[in-house]
Amino acid sequence: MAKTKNKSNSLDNALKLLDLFSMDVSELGVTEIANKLGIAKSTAYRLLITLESEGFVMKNRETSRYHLGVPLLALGNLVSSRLKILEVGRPIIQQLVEKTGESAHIAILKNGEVFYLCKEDCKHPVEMLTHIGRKNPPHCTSAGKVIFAYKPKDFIANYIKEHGLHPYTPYTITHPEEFLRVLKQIKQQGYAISKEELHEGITSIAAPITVNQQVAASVSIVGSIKRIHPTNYHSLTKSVIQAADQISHKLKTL
Amino acid sequence: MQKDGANEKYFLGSVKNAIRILKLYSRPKQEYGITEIAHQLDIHKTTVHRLVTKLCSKGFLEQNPHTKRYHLGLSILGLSGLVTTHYEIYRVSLHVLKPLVDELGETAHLAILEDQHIVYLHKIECRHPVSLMSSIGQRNPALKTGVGKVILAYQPEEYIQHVIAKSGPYHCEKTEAQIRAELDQIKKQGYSIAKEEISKGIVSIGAPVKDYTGKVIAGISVVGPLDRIKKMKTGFLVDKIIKAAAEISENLGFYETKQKAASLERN
Repeated sequence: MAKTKNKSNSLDNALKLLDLFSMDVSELGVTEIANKLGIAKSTAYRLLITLESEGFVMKNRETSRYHLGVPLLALGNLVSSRLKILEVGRPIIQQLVEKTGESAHIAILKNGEVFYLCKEDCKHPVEMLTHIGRKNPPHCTSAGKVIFAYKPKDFIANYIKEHGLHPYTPYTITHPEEFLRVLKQIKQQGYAISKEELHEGITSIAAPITVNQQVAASVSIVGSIKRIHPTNYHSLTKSVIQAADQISHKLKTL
Repeated sequence: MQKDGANEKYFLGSVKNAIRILKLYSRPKQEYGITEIAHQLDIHKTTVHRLVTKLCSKGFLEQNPHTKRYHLGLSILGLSGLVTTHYEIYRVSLHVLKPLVDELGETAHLAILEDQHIVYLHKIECRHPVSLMSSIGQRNPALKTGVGKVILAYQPEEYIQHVIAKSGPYHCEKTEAQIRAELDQIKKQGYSIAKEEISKGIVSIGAPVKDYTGKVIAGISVVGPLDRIKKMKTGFLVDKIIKAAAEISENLGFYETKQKAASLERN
């Protein structure tokens, strides 16, 4: 029995190890991994060479540190190819990028977080803030708020109770009452704007995607406040809503 | 598959098997049941069940509520998204390769060198794709592909030596001297052409991508059927591909024109 337990622990640790990589952490050394996971260096090493044998991590010959392996790209593509919303949505998102000149996403809400299923970069992505599969807090992103706006009141209350409204910038909404008021307004107008609520200097605009008569996802564009400016909110918002509606419509007629 | 067999005894069985489960999935087969997995991998059903349950709890697999079978989960998407973020070259090449494919009407690849193999970081298919021996994340022997040879041609002598030594069975039809002459030629002309080396009837033309230090870190290639490639003038194709590679290099901070001008002056 004890042996079985050990076995699941090593898989647990391997999955935790993969989770240590992030947008800012592209390489990790053996010691670092051992410390972060609270395991022996020899165990960390065994995890790494096993992952490496299947290409999930690769060793950088120059630094002797490890990074995520390219075979993961192939598996990621399989996941994308399975998702109807991406099959339908990707070309529409690409058009939106061309039209607005900003990076665009399709996101869903998963385990209380905004999860980006798809991202199309604009021609000159100055700021790398998101990637496919990145998770962000929903209360301060337009992509999250616009999905929240269509959720029942107790869903929101539960979220606030569980996660709180953590401030990321001086502009993050942190008062539950104000948050509810904003959500109500978003539902009335059919789109959400998040100006510097997660990152200073960055604004995003989102509109809801409806699946089976329920808001299940969102389309959003993200960019610098210099480009996404109140003077062009109107035209940008129109384009985002149009893209989201187009995706909802195509999903309905599938 | 891995070269360092000596390490094998230190591999962790459950981790290895879990990854083997994930790698079973393919485009034609996106769902598996426990029994099927057990059969395919020759692992006991109870073990598969335990691994699958764990993979599900971490979002690496998901159960389809209708069929009760399992498909790949969103956590995979998170990791692959990170891979594309970490490889800067992946990002900066996208906007160059798409127009290239549109213009030439043939499939383009972006590949990097990993040991004696090349790995495709990206593949952009044309409107009438032919079946190629490439998919994103796949490895091919570097010496057998246009894109592999063009990257290799610019590597330091020790690296070339290392690859030739390791590639053994892949280049049995060529002597080391022939390979070296070919690499020298590629470096001199600045591009590579591989005719029917990995699949019959397929031509690939490759050009090098340099980082800001001038080091060749990747290559792009345009690949298509011999008859279609022949219809376009090779010189025209080569020109377009070299230009695209130079644009990607420039996006990475390499200024070809400056270096070229400097070297011209020196001559």
